Amino acid sequence: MVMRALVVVLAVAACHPKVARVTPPPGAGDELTLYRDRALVRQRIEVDIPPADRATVTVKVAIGVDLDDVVVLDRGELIISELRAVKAPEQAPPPAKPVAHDVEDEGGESDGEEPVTPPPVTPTTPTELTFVVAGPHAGHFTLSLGYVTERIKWDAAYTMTTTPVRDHVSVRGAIAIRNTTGIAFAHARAFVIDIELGSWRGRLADQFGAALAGTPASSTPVAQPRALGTIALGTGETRVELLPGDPPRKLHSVLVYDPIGTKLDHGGSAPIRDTALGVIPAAASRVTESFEVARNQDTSTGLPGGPVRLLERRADGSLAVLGETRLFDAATRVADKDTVAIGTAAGVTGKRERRELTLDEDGKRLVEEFMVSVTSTRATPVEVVVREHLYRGQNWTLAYRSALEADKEGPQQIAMRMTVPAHGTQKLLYVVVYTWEPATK
Amino acid sequence: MGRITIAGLVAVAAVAATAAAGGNSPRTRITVWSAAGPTSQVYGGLSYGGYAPTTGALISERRDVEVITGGEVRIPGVAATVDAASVQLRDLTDPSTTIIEQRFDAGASTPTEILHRHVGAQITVVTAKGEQTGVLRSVDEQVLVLELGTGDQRRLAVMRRDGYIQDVRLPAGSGVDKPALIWRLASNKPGKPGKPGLPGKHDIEVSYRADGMTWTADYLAVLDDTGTSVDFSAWATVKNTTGAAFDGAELTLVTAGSAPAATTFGGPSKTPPPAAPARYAIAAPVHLGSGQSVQVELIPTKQGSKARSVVTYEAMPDPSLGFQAYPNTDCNQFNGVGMGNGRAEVAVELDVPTKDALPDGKVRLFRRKADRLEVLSEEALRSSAGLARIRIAPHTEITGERRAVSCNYDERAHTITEKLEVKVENKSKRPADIVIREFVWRWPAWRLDGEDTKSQRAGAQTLEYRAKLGPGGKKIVTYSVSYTW
Repeated sequence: MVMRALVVVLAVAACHPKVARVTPPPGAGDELTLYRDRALVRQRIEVDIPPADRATVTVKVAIGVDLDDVVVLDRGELIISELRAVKAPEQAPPPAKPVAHDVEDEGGESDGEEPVTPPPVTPTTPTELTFVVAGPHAGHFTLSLGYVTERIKWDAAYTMTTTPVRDHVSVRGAIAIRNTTGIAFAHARAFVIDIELGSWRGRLADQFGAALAGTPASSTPVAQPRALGTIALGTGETRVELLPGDPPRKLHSVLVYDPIGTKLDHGGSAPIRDTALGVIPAAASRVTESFEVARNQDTSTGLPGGPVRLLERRADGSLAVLGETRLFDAATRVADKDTVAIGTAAGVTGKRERRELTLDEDGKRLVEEFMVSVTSTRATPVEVVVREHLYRGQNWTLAYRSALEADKEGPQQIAMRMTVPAHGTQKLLYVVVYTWEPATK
Repeated sequence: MGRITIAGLVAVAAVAATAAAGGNSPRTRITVWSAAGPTSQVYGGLSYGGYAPTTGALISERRDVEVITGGEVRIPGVAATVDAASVQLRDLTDPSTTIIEQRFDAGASTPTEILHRHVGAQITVVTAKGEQTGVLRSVDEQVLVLELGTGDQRRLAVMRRDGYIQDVRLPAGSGVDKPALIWRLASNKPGKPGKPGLPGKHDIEVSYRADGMTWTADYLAVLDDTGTSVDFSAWATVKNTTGAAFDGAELTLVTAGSAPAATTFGGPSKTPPPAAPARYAIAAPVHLGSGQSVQVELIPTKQGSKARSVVTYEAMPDPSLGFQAYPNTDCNQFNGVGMGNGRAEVAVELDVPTKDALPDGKVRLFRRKADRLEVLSEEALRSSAGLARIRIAPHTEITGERRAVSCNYDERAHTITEKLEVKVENKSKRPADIVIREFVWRWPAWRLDGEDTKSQRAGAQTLEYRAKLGPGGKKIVTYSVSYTW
């Protein structure tokens, strides 16, 4: 049943001179913004009001949405005098359970069981809201409701398919949206933003506040909205293609030394001051054999994070899995390349050691100096991507680096490149400074 | 039948209904007070010399009732939470009528209450083992006691209600009444005082106070992309848990207001009188169903209002809530030592058509960007007379400090006189409209003795000073305040 069909008009008589009817659904109108944890729904209601001063309209919104959660975003020329939630049947006390007892419980004898408190009643039907509306004249009107629901969940997943030549790769992706709101959105403009709603709201407010005040905005990369187009989102699961017609991308082999990974990333602005962080236990020495895939920034912006499998289609048509990783996560939000590890690199090892740590609580600064060395026993020079994570906090700056370039790949991730000579060692030094507010008094 | 005909008939029916209801005057008027503010809760209430805020609702209903011989009349469907001592009667048919006896029949709403009303009556209990009929002797949330058999066979059975009992059948015709007031009326016509109320139909107005009805305010603001224009609407959510339903009620919503006695003291006071509760009359009649929540528009929606960007500066959080029961006399507290740079925040403000501050409530802030709607914040609305302000984000380049220039505590006269200085600096490259918010926090009874910049009251114990600061600009505000208790 399409969403519009859920809009019901209650014809009222006698002292309520209200007759309203709802027009069939138009081509578009609803808007869904999908965040990691919740979805913002903008639901459009269309009403034809015949000559009368007021009308009563009943509309269904997502299961579990309370009256307090709903806002009237746009009422046009309509005047809404009442907005009321029709009590759901689930809210009535549940009937007593007919449980058969083997032993008669008469006489107040306890069977030793603790009294069980029934769990709270979970709503299973969409919330019905009733509006009492008036228009300036008879005619066609629209209004928009806004609310947030946790009943639209999603997951994204990708595949990369290459050939035995391994010089190009085709990237495909899809988002699976599970709608358990109890209502269908027949023609909804949909967007996905790969961040929790609360974090997004805070970031957006900071940016907007900085724009209003003319102060510098945070340089931390923020998730971008990704338009999914106009979709028909029925109840259940709907899959939407994320990269239709994406051209093949360049692929090339590279070694990656990523001794820490994202496991220590702390998203707060004030850094963690634990001196052992990232040093004890010692970092791994494993260097991985990887494939590097160029990112098309035009088509990749705002893509939601998800797992990716790198597949090879062999000459006989069979598919083999080469490796697996994650794409477009927050840690690599602004990277221009993705890497997929396919195994351990033979003859190449890495070492990461901290040379110095300075903690200045008064000046609100923490300085760390790291030396990263990669040793190769191979007969030819190898190109190695050294990936480092500035895991202590989000407010950091690189005070020094021996590498020519350090590419920022995400809020707390940088990549530096080095060429390790045959049977040799290459070293890389960098100094990171973490600060926290207020920097100075 | 065409639309016009239907509409015409409906209109006629409406007019007829209105006429039957007694002319243009509404049948039901309800005044609802908002939930008590935090001030009354902290150290609150009368036991600490505070005040008891008005809560609940004043309900006034016109009804046609039938007075039977002997002057008795039953008014069903009143609030289960009625304050029986507050009931007032106005008999429009016989104005000399008075109530000489009143009883309140509370009705029953929960299963246990309903069963309680049948203690002593014969009921049938259905269990997995069959039906048993007996006299209900006692009931609570866990068990019921049934008297079975007669004579020597008489025994009591204690039955568990959670699971063992599947069904309880009450005697036919034992419908449970709604809460009702039962009156014995007297007619006091000249020369015939104290006679029973005149039998027959009476048009009466009954008024009473009831708990279980309250309201809260919520706001919605939708900014345009540039933050210069805003659509602003205010909604009140009225919750009715009185157990009664009211149709076509004329609704007035009243804010909690501030303490009536604590904000003035002797002598020529410059302090404005205490904030009277604000009243909001809802334009259209409202149906308040039992157990329902209803949202109504608190003030007319403002479309495309001009939004102004300001920066609020607070040298410290407002400590006044902690000093409503006794004054703070420590001159060393919040005197400027170790207080840091304060907190500056970017906000947007707009004019609203109210003489009073809007009621406390949260505001949901959205922004329209390229035909898409973005959520910006959900914060408590800050409001003063004719003004609403919505916080956006911290401002990192406006700093300041507050210090006490002097502070004199007179223990015998029960006064503190304080002179304060607030310095604000704009370190950004853009001019900024600054609102310095200062809290006269020591005690609710205070007087402004002097100030070098004109302030505005933004709350019972909040002053606001406005300044326009250019890039690198500074502003110093000095004021003196006296507290007496």
